Amino acid sequence: MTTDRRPTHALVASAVLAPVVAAVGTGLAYAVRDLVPDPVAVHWGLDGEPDRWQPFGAAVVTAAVITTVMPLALVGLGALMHRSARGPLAAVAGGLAVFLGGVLFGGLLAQRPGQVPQAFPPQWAVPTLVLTALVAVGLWRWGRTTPPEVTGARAPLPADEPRLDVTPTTRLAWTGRASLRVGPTAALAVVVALPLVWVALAGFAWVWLLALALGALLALTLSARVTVDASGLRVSSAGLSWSRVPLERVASAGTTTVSPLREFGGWGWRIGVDGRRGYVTRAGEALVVHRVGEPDVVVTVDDADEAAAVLNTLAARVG
Amino acid sequence: MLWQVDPTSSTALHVQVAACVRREMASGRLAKGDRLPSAKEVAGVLDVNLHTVLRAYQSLRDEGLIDLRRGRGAVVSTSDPGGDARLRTLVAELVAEARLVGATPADLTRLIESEFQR
Repeated sequence: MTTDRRPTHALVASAVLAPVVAAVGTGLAYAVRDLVPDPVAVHWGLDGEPDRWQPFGAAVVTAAVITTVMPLALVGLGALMHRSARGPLAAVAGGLAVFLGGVLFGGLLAQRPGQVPQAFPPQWAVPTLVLTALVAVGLWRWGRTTPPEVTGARAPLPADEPRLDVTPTTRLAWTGRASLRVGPTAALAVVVALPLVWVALAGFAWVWLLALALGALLALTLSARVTVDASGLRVSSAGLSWSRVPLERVASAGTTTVSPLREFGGWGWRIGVDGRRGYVTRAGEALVVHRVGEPDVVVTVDDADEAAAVLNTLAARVG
Repeated sequence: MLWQVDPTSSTALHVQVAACVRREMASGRLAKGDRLPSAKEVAGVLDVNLHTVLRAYQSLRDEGLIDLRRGRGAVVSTSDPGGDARLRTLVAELVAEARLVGATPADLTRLIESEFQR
């Protein structure tokens, strides 16, 4: 069996992309060097007026270093993680490289005469965001692993995993929820959103819309519906599917105890260093689904043993 | 929560769906204020008709176990399903089992009476 190299290739591509973006930006900046002021503005206040300047050379080097180093740090992290996690990390690193390059060099190039430096939106904003999205989606698709085909009769489920004793004609299903605790999450969201509120109060009313949109997105993804039925396991929030495991890809299901910070580096939909996918909302009891040829899926639900029993019973019928 | 219905059983499907909810309440896993999955979702996972689930929810409402509110869905309205609901659940299971092994209502009644004598 050959190993699927595409996740690694995508990660390498994102590692190459960062210095390339920095080099292109540097080239463009030097091409218009005689047109931009020296020192150039590198920071703008809320009133749209520049409040910090740097000599031209130093500003270009700073932009190039930030554009290169931050994505490369993510690539380094991706290299340490499971193969299946490399595609998503390549997407984030590549997107970040384009975004940083666009913002930092865009701000420099916009200071040519005849350009309105801080008109909103700046003329580089839309191309930067579009390119960022294209690169991220492209790398993500490139780095996706195709799970191995499930062929023939699969191995019987382990006998020691929970199972339900019901007649074969009984239709079984299990429904549950994994929810982040509303209090702490809302408090954290407010703290994170404070700078947005500050900017909004300073007269940029459209920022309220941005804050509201982010808040709505958070509210929708705070909690996930977990269902086990004849089509397998499904974890979804408001119609958005985090994970779907068809019954024929379920090797077995069981329970485990998770520690969100140590094993997944946080809460929500996560990828562990070992490639495990998890919708993790708290420490403690969780349903773990061992997949055929892919890393496990973990969901923190109450009565996980019951969910596992239903999944095992249904999977055994398919086998 | 666990949902199970057996279409080959002679117990009506909506009775079986309601029994799932009663069993969760009797075991204390559903408490007052907990929200049940929408009838549409339950119909989907069990592959039964939406009206079957709605009928089950309505019978639970008529027993005073859940509230059905427009927009909020089905919410458990009592912390104690009461001995009555628990007995109903047990009897429903008992009768289903009796049908399976071919016991008649008379057989079952005799067994219950002898259990009372002990």
